[in-house]
Amino acid sequence: MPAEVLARARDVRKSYGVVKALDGVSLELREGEILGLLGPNGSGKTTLIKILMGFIRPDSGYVEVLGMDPYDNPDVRARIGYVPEELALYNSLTPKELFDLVARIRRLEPAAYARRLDLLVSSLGLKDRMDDLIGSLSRGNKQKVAVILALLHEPDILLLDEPIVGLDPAVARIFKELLYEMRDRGCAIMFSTHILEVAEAICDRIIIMHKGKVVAEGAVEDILKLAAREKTLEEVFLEVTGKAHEVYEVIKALRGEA
Amino acid sequence: MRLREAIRLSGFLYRELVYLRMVSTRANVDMARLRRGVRWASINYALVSAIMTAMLALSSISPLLPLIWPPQDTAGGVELVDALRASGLVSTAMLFTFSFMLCASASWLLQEYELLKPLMHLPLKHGDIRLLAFITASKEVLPFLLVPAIHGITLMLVVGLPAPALIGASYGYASIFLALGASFSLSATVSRRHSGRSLRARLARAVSTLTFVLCMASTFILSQMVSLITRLVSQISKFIGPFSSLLWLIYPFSAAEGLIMALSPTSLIPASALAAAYLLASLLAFDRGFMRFWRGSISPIYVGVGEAREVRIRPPSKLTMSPCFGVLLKDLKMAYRDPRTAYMLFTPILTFLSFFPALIEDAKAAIMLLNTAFLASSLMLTMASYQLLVAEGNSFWLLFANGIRKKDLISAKALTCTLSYAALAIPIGALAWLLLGPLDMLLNATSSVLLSFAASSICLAYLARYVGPETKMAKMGLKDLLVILLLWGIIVGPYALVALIIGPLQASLIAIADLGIALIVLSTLH
Repeated sequence: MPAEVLARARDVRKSYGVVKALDGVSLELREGEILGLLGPNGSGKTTLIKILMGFIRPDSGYVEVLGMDPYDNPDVRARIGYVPEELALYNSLTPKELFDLVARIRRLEPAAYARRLDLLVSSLGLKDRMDDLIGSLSRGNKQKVAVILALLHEPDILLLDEPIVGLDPAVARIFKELLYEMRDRGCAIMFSTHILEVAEAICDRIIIMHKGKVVAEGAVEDILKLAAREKTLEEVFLEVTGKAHEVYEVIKALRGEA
Repeated sequence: MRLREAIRLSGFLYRELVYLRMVSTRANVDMARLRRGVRWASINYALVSAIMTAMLALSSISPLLPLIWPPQDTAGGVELVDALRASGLVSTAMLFTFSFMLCASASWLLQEYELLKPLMHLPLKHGDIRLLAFITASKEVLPFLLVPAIHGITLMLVVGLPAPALIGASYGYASIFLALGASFSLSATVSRRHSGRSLRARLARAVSTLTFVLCMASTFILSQMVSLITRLVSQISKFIGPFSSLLWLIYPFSAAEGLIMALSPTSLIPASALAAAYLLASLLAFDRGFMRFWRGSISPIYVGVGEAREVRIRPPSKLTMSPCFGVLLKDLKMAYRDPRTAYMLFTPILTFLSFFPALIEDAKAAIMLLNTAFLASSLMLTMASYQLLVAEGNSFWLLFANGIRKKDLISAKALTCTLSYAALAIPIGALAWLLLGPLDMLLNATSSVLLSFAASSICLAYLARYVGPETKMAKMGLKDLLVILLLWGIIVGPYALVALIIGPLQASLIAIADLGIALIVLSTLH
């Protein structure tokens, strides 16, 4: 039986003035899959994630998350976990106080919440920083706080915008395990990243975006087959986003081969 | 680094300061205006500095002017002693106040926004960066260095002796250096945030919060000091009798008395020695203050206190698991730890403080004054609740991504203001009831708490449409401010009328009705 589609976007368009952030994007996010969202800066990844969160309304097109329009039904966010690209947390609170705040907003059952929090902070190595002010934490520890906030309520959908930035390799490895565990429980995970090795290693499916459009989509092995010559995802990425020539010219110039 | 180069480089930092002041003090900043303001920063600086320096110099010498150009049409002449005393006091007080205000603002912004940190990555020596920091933070004060010189020259013209001129100038410079030292030291204290649960960390946080609140209240406190000081001095004089003549030793009175003492050869030496001692002490205070500021500027704002230790995770109480309670708790904690984000919450305390001397003087006027303070507080708290929205900064995403409803958000903000005000108003009302007699005061205090909740909730419900997950900063324009004032008037007006015409009991029924309306408005939010 095919996996249920938990989020869907069809021909979604969004412009900021003359800039087309999304230009007819369609995609499906299924139960129990990890979907990687790749693309150069300004390709529309963050806008797409914010539309799926219901933060912004698209200019046109159809969006459905857990059977609802997320913009008109903000209650759907109760079942979504989200890590934004730019972290803006409350610097004068401690991580524990922030987790408690979110648990209260989400009306989590206290004992279950405490157990879940204990597991997450122990796994990600944040237990000895729970009483520090968030403002005093390193970038990596702040990222851990944001990741825990997204996983705290065991959501059905996870929308993660550059979640691995700032995490050291050991924590990134544990984070990947947590994602697998969530996926195995049926959670649909979409995450954008610039780290292609990570996408290649953990994603079931990949979407490559460029200038607001989906330029390649499919399972990792299918993407790699797009051009027979190419061997790595990086090379495919550069090819489909039209950056290959530009990048190779710069590399040649840097090596003095131009 | 040459001084000229340092002045040129400090211009860049100063433009950044101008930019930060503009964006942090205006609700809606027009980009074109902002660009213009930053571009014209140096010209504005030159103009404002010239005007302020001239104003300070004129204020310092104005008591002496009638001695240079005696007025034609007045019968009595001006006494030299009175003129010297007034000139000495005005000069020191104004130089200290203005230097302190300008340098405190600039040095605090330099630390708060960590503007010196990018310079640390450049191939500059620490001494060079220190020089840049000093020039930038005190740039607006440096032209004031001309004022003591002008004051000294004028004293020389009036008295015809060099000693009073030197003493006057010396106290002027002492005031400037003392103000610089105090403002540098202050910004180093209030800019640091201490982490941890240890006693030391708690004390450090408490000192920082208290210092900030006291600084904010300094205008109120100073105005009260001025009105109390004459009575206080006369009381002390009566009490200490012959020792009251020792007032010439105490700054800033020593500046005034020193000028008079310099006229007589017998008292010239102690007056000069004292002036030199104060100048030396002010230089030491400046050095200590600046070094504290410097150390604070190059170290992190958030300070970890104590070793990291594992925390046992305990589930929160079931009774507290509601969004409204969560936001309320967060806002109370943040307002205490970082009072810059919600300083309006403290304004009712200052209002009651400012009425305090009048309450002592005239017990009959006390009831009227307290009632005015109760009403004024409801307006201040309406603005405080808006400030709590602003304090969310760019963290609205966090609340909305986790599914907060505007109803809960607004209720929590209004409750934060109301509860912190109730903790002040109800005891004051009860005290007034015990001391002044009528139960009305307690009734009025309770009504003002209800009115504060009603006004805050209704005004925030109006502003809620501007707030969403993508909001980077809650802002309101002039039109919104007028609407809020109108709403406040509609809520509080009938109460005030009934209280004046009929009585406090009937007025409290209006306050309860306002509360009911506020609850209905809140229930319509999603």
